[in-house]
Amino acid sequence: MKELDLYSFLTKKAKEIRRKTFEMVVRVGKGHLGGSFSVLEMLVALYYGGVLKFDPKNPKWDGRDIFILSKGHASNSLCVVLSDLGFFPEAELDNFSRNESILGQHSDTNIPGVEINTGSLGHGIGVGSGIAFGNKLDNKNNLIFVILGDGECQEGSVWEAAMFAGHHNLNNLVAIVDRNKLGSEDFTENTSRLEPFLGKWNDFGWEVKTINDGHSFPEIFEVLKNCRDPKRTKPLMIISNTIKGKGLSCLENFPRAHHTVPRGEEIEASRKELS
Amino acid sequence: MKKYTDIRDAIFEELYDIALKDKKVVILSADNGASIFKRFEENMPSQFFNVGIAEQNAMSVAAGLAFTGRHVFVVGIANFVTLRCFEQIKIDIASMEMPVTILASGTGYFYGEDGPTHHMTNNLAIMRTIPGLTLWSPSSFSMASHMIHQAYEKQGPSCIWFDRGPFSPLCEEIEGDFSEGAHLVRQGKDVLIISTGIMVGEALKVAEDLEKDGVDAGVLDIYRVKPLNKKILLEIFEKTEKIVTIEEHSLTGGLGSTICEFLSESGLLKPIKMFGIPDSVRYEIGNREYLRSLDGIDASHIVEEIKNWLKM
Repeated sequence: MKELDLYSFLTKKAKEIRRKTFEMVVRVGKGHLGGSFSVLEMLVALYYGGVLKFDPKNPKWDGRDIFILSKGHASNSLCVVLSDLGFFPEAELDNFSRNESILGQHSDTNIPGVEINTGSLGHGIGVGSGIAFGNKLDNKNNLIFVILGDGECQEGSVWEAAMFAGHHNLNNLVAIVDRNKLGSEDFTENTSRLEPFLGKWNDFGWEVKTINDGHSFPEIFEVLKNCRDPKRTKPLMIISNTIKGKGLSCLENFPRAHHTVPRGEEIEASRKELS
Repeated sequence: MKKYTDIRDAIFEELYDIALKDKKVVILSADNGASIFKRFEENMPSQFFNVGIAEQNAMSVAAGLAFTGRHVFVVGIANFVTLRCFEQIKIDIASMEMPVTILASGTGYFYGEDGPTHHMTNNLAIMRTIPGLTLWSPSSFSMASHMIHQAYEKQGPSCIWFDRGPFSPLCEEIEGDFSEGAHLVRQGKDVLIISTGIMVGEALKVAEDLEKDGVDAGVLDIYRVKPLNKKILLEIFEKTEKIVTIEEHSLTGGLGSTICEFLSESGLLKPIKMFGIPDSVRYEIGNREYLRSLDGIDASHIVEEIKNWLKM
């Protein structure tokens, strides 16, 4: 696919995933739309843009890349992506967050295509580092992708893992921080400052790339196209600047967008925005 | 199995032999030292790693390595490889049934002189709440060396917390593969004393002293505290009049609590007296015998208490 065609396809796909995620969440009135929408273009780029190696018919395929959504609350949109790709029937989305569903508010290994249990923050990068370390010992070439929230980076365990990955030069590890500037209740810079963020990862021994607009596919691919660079000697950190609740004016950049779900008249207004 | 007189030898010599045969066995040390680790580093550099003083990450990395098909043994001071990283054990390891074995050194007041930050007095209380985690608490060097093999063969999440001893000579004489989880070290008809780990030795002292006063006490060693061997416990408890539990552990949630829960679940009504560490922080500095005496869990104090209790 030519670049422009790819971006056009991905833009349409992102719109479709955003709309489906919205409907899935408003149906039960519970969800994490803020973080699910900030990371959405990155998920679409990874899964539909030919970046991640995977096989929905054989989720445990040995040659696959390992993808970990460490900010497990953003699994609302990941579930829609996985069902769309055929990891499980789309009808399961109708049961989201209901009794007996495999789909809850966070992701776990009961969901086909999900590699590890995530939800409590600060775990994914450590487990991902362990997998990357093991794969290097086995001389395997597949990559380990971990998406973290920026608020998640206030967890100390993230920096223990960052030190470990830097120390062992885990160049098969690609971490992406969804830098939407917000935690659960407030801006990260108001609660426990992350900046200078890029410098911190640099100092921990990572190669760091920044995406100025994490909702722009050309910008995302400008960075992702080199993620398999065999010359890279360090773990790769991609800081993707995004907008929490992207696509919904009632949520965008709103401090409590973490688990606020549109209600009443907001629902129809949101549908129009997403259509 | 070789005979050992040092707990680290008992555990790490056996682990060394296992790791030599199985390249998928990996040892992570949270900067915890033992002279044998030099041999691991020199002879199997792709299987032994000191990951630094970062226990949370050690557990997450262990889970990740297990994900790649390895059995990982994580070594550290008991407090720090359990309490500090409880959530990593619960989520990254146990919830996904990863083959990771935690080797937790120094239980109870082992680090008595190091003050309250190093007292490991609630390991059983917290760790037994994690589903799927097997917990071993050996009462002899021989037992510890067998448990390493059981942990390796089990291929699931587990924890062995161990002491340097000295262990009771009687416990050292016991032979077997220690797969049952509990062992009646001493028969007795008046009262059954239950303990685990190094405190089995104290329980035996108590039983011997009680004998001088005409009390016939049995001693049951529960060396696998989770899962309990309920069949064996039922058989023994049905023949038991009264129960005493002795532990160098918080009375809240420890071995005594475990036994009370089992009695309740089994519908058995037995008088029970629990000896353990009260719900308080010990700032007093001293060796474990001294700290035990402050808590009233030394043999002489327990003997007097039991005698008074049995008179009631």
